[in-house]
Amino acid sequence: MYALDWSPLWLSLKTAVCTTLIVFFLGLAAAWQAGRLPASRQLFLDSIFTLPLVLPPTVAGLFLLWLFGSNGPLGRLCREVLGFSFAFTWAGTVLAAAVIAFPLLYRAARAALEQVDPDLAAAARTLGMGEAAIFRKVLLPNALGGLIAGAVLAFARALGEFGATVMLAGNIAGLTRTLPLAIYSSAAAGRWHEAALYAGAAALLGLAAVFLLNFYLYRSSRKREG
Amino acid sequence: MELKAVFRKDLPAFTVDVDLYLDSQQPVLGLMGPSGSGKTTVLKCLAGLIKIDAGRIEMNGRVWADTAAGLSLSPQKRECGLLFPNFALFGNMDAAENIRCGLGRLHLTAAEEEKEIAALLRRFKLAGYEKRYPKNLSWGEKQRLALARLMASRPQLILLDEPFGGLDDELRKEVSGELELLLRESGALAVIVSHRRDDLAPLCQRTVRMDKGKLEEVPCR
Repeated sequence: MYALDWSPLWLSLKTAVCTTLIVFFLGLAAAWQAGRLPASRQLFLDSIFTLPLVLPPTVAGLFLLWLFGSNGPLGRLCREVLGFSFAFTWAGTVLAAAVIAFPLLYRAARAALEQVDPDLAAAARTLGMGEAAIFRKVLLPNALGGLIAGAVLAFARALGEFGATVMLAGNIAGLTRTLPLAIYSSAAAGRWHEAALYAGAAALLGLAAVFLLNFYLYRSSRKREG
Repeated sequence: MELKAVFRKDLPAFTVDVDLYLDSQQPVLGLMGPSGSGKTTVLKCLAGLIKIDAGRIEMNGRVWADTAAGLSLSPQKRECGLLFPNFALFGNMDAAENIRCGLGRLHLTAAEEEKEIAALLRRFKLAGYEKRYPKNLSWGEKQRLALARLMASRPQLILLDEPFGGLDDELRKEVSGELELLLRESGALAVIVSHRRDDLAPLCQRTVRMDKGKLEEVPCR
């Protein structure tokens, strides 16, 4: 068999899993708090948190490089206080993917929490339940479907991240060269067979994610009708 | 037992302006009126789900809201139960868990909670339904579960929003009988919303009608 370097595959998977976990909790927390604010502030927050979705990824990457680069304000802080860097490291890969994937999960979480019947939270309040208990026992279980859908989308987006990743983390083989970057590098060097294999792997992963999502949605709609 | 509620709430279409008084002599008040007249808003203001714009709500000498003092207790801090028209049962929990949600304020031990839940299920004719989910209950069973959950929190003020829904006559009589017993047993004060006078007459000592936010007394039969 072709002695192909499959590190891009593992890097992509590792990155996507970490990214999804991070944006799941951050996005859910942000969506929960945003939902409790007055409408004007909700509008503002929603716009800020959706921004990475509409910016060209390279613009987001440039901004992240400015902020977290070796001499950037936050980059220098991390280096001096926490002892690690984001620029040209795997941490940078995760950060870039997280920033790009965050809006997907945030919007899915907002929608999922909004569609929970508001009377449920209201009833819970009259029964004496605290806000944290309401979130855990009433909102979260009833919003789970939408949250999972958002997580799968975020996972898929993190798998496919290129622009922001290459700006902040660079394209270092074995360290930050994820599948999309590997495809680009192979194609740019004329190694078409290699590029095709990487592309096939990326496509299969994406297909698996979408298939799982649809399977889950299909099953939960069947359960609800039953 | 005494409820004094004088308050105003500005809504987009009109202003809700009420002056309500309930005590042990006249514990149950009927609230009638066309849809959109502000009845549910009144209940939500009493429960603390909506903040009043001006006025004062005082229950058994305890101030629940006073705009002059900048005070508005959260719903969690008022001993007030609200029955929603669609019951607002937690579909992700079984009957026992739904009732357990009402027991938080009582700070019972696990064993006491189990006893209380069993007693409430029996009282509301739901014995054996501990593990049933709301989606597998009939309309009447759902209402009884919602009432059991409400009563679990031992409210001093019970608010019933359209408990008669769109029921047929037989079910109406049954629900009326159950509510009468419940109200008598609990000794709580209550406000019942309905658009039918015949529903309210057997349960309420007084009835008022609300139209575009303003109240007027409806004479007893």
